[in-house]
Amino acid sequence: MWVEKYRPASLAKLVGNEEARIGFLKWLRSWKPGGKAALLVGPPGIGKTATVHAAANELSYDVIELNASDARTKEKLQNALGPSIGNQALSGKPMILLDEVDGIFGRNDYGGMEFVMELMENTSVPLVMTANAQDSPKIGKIAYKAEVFRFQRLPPRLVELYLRSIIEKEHVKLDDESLQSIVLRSRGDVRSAVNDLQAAAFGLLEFEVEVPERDRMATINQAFQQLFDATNHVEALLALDSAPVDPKEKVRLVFASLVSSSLDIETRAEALEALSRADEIVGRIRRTQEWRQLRYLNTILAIGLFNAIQGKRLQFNADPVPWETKLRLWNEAKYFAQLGRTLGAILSISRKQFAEAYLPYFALILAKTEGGEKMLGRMGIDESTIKVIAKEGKKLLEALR
Amino acid sequence: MSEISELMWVEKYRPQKLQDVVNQRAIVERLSSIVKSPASMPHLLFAGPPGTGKTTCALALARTILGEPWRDYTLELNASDERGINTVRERVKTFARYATQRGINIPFRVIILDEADEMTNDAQTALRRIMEETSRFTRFVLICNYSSGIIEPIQSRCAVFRFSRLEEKDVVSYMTSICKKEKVRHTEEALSKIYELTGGDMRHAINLLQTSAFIGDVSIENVEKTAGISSRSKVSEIIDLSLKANFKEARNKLVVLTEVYGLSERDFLKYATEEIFKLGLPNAEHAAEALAKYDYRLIVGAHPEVQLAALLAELGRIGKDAGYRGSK
Repeated sequence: MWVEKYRPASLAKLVGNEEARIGFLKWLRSWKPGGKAALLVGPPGIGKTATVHAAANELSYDVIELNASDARTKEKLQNALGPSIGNQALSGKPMILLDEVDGIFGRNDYGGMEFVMELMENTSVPLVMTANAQDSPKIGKIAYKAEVFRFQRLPPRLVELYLRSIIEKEHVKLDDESLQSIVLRSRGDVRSAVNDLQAAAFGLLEFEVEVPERDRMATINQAFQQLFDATNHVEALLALDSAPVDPKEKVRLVFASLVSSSLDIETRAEALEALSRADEIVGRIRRTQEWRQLRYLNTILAIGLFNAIQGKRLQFNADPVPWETKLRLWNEAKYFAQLGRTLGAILSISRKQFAEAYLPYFALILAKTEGGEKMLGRMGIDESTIKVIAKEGKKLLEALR
Repeated sequence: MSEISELMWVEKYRPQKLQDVVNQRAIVERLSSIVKSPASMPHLLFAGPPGTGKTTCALALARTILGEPWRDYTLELNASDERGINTVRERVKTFARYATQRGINIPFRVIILDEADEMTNDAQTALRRIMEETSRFTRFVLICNYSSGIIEPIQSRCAVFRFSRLEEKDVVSYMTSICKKEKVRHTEEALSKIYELTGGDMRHAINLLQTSAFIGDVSIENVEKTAGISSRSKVSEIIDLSLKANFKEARNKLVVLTEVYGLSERDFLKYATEEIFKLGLPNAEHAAEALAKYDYRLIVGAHPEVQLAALLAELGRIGKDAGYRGSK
């Protein structure tokens, strides 16, 4: 991951928050046994932990790091830290970093808080903590007794400069508009900006592409038709690789083509099963940000599909919804959703429950109620919505006759 | 009461007092003792099947504890309607702040969070923090179908109440009293039929009752006709088409049901499972395996519509193996 690869190794390579960084380095340099602990406070992804590691590196400290997920009870903290506090000779020049202390102190910290307070009173090694916010009373207590260094969000200009340096090193092509949208999206969080940058480089972020839309569609169309017409695995893989769309869109386009082609049920079931597995991978990547999984996606999709449809004719189609259904989607869907929202609030149900146990009944009841439409109007429901639900009611009445 | 609440019987006849809630005697008793000393009320977790009185109890509780201005001090949220945990946090915070500004003497504000088991584990962890941060001014009533869908740390902070499925005699007698008040002609058998079709879900039963009454009177014939328009019968139709390997038509109807009418994919699967098992296919275990597989992939995958379509196609294969000819 680029976030790891470009984690600044020295203080000079960090960007922004000069004052806090220099202050912290001074603190660490002049630290003596029995001295105060340090607390670095600020939003995520702006270099708190990186500052600690870089400063430690510069002054040749060995960082013993614990974060919220490692330990939260007194016992666990003691076990993890005990050796380094007790016996300095064995472990070189140690320093303790408790990362994200706000996470350590839940209601179930079982003495973790007291242990940290004790540790702060009497340490033979430097103790450094980071936290996202200082509002909670417990962090407040720590801040009171520690040297506090405040980190701010980075200004967009600095984030952009930093990303540009990575772009140069990775030889990535990214247009200015996409870069700017990554910078804006990050809101000063460098870590997320670098993550987004890497995602964009892998084609995982959706941006406006400069290629004229018509040309792009032609290229896409061609790539997928080649995939469907491939005569061996290599051809299929090459075709899918060449399609200029992100992985999620790849799945969607194969899906659209599969459901609108004429296929026997065996072939269709097998092909959709392969696609479903590919979709599982895409979902996993989106959720866990494990981009390495991407390497396997094209193989699973291209070869799974090839094996399933062998010899059958598949026609490229970008639209998975038949025309007449599409009309209903445009003309009705949003109005039913709107109605569900408004009525849901009055009837203490969710939109989902409205769709499940109310919609058809309500439409019929309304159709049979004198002045029903006017009543909806008085509740502030707009005319188009009323029209759609009234039409639905009449349709249902017809069907029941 | 708004006009819609007057129009819809399910709302018009929603019990206002705890004592009027149907057949959850043990729960009502425990809740009534909480009402007597509200200051010591913990957060509450109501778990149970749909239409068994969870929301009704939560609303009645808020009304009893907070008195006349209860609506000002009660926030109703639906996990499935909110766009992520941050929206929930914002709404809870704004609500808590707004409510503290007024100096009326109430013990706390009530936040009713419905469908809490639909939230991801991460969102629930965040919710747990919100509960802690605001616990000086607020009490949460979390509502869910399965308490197993709620993370342990939240469960341990709540008093858990398990609502049981309503019995036929209770639902029928409640419907009978509604029929009397609304002066509707009905037969005992028709009411039994409604219970059978709605499986103890009072909300659904009353909606079906009212619709039947509006198209004529409450007879078996009308009830069955009305039930034909329900989501369940639409799902049943889609399953029938799928098993007959009529993929295109099945999927088209599925798109209308989920995208136009807004039925959730999960609700679709729930009904689909029930309908398939009713058919008694010789290879029902294959169908169950397919359902389990796509139920899982629906959660982890990126495109729900891909997963459900793949399920329909696989059902076609299963129907073919079973020599399926149709449900009617």
